[in-house]
Amino acid sequence: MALPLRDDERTRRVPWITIALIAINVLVFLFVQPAGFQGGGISNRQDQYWQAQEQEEFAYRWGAVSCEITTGKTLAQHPSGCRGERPDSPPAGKSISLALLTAMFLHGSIAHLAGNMLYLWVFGSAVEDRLGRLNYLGLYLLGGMVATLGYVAFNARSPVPLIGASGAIAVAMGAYLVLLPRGRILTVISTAAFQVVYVPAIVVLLLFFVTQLFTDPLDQVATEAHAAGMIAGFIAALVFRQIPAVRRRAKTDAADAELRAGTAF
Amino acid sequence: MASKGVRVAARAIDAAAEAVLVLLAWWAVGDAHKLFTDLFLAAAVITAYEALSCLWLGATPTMRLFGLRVVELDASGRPTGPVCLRRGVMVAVLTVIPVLGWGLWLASMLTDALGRGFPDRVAGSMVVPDAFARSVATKDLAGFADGVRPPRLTAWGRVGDLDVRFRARLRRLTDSRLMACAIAFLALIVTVPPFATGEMILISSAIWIVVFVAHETWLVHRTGATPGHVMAGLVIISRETGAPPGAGRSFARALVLGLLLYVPLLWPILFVSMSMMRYNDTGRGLHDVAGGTLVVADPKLDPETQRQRAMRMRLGLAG
Repeated sequence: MALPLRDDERTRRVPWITIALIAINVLVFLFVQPAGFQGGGISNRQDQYWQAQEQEEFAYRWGAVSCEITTGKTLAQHPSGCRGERPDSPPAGKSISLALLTAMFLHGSIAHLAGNMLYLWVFGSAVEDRLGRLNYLGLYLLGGMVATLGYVAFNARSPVPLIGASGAIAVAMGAYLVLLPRGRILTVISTAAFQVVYVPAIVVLLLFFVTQLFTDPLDQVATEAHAAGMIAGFIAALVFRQIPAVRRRAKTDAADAELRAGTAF
Repeated sequence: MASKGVRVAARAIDAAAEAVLVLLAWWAVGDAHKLFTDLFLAAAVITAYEALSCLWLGATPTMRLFGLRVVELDASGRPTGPVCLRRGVMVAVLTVIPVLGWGLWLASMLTDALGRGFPDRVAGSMVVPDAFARSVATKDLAGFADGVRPPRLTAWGRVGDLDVRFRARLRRLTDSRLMACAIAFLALIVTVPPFATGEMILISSAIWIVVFVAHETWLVHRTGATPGHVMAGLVIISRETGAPPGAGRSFARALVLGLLLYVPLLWPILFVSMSMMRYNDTGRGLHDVAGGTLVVADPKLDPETQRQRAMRMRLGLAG
């Protein structure tokens, strides 16, 4: 397993959008999501039951459910296209299209949140610097939805709610591959004796992509969303790269890098 | 420089004041069932206390009472908002992690010649006595550090400092794409279901150690430096000849280093080795003893260039 810590690309501006996205994800997890997502801290079995119910109700209300998206009906309306275990009392009055957006800001546990925010900080801030703030925000939000739809395409009849920012973050990772192909990522590789090294970004990102193809389905990881997100981000960045402002920034960065390489220190 | 004893006393009093504020915040808006929300609230309160007092007073109230203040590197006057915020966040994070966080703050502050612990290093600041009137420039830190803790000298030159060597080690594979691909392959192979077993992870780690030892032996024997050492202006030489060590000694050195770094069971011995590097007169760890080597300033560089290279490495600016 490879865990990125930071990249060595110099940024020119404070990544406010990335900071704001991280802040929203953290605040939603801490103050909006029910206590059950944090482990609860309850020993009474009856209270644990109610906490689990509350957690499930929240995930179904605000998470993206594949068969709701493909049928256009909420689970409360008993769509015929769903296969698998459904909740006893699905939430009524749910907005399916809104859930596509809200699912991107919810997380299943503190480890899920921490891992995602680390990846978002490492890759998102560099992509924001290169694309510009508004372009990056659009890429993140729209790309995140495309990633979710990628998951839906492979799990069309699933009634399981999908939550997490990882699809949108995978979009930023795909874009990084195009925009900063020579970047290097300080990475901890736990399966190689915890080696901490600067690894070319292309290796880290391709490694991440390939591992998605081999993840155990029982791990409850939306690998389809990750793969779709990376592909979407890669293609979108190829388009964004043609924008004159983005091209200018790339040229300036390349000139800076050459200048630094020539600095005799 | 500010007395470290006074700084520890000031921190203890500040921590007590912060604890009272945190308890009040928990009483007002805390949730007993949300552990991480409560930790976040504690960190937010401590950050606010540290950052606002830094911004308005130039340091926490207790530090000011004890005649200390925070200065921003390469700037005059009170520290700016971003510096105070970064410093406050780091202090808060280290404070809300019991034992480990406090230990990290204390160790990083006490072992640095200028008392610049993790919060100051992250924020680009330094704690000085009120009487210290001038501003502090980054390029002067190396000179200040030498003034506080005289450099260790050997017959072959100045001994490389532990934190510089540590960072040089991190940069070791910066330009070695082949090695990066090798570890990436090792990381990948154990994610494929048939190979995703504990035994395979152990085998891949063992393969990595073999690759590391071979590469390190080749680099040290052929060039007397790794890419990170070159960036830091350091060389690895035989204690007897002053030249790069022979193949056998380079291998012995690389083997001890590889085992200490990458076998978690041996990390207590690594700690002993690092203490030797930090405190003995020649800066030699166990791997240097095995290889009969010294890590010293590159004699081909003029002393000021070498010192500045080491400082850039120490500050994470090398590259």
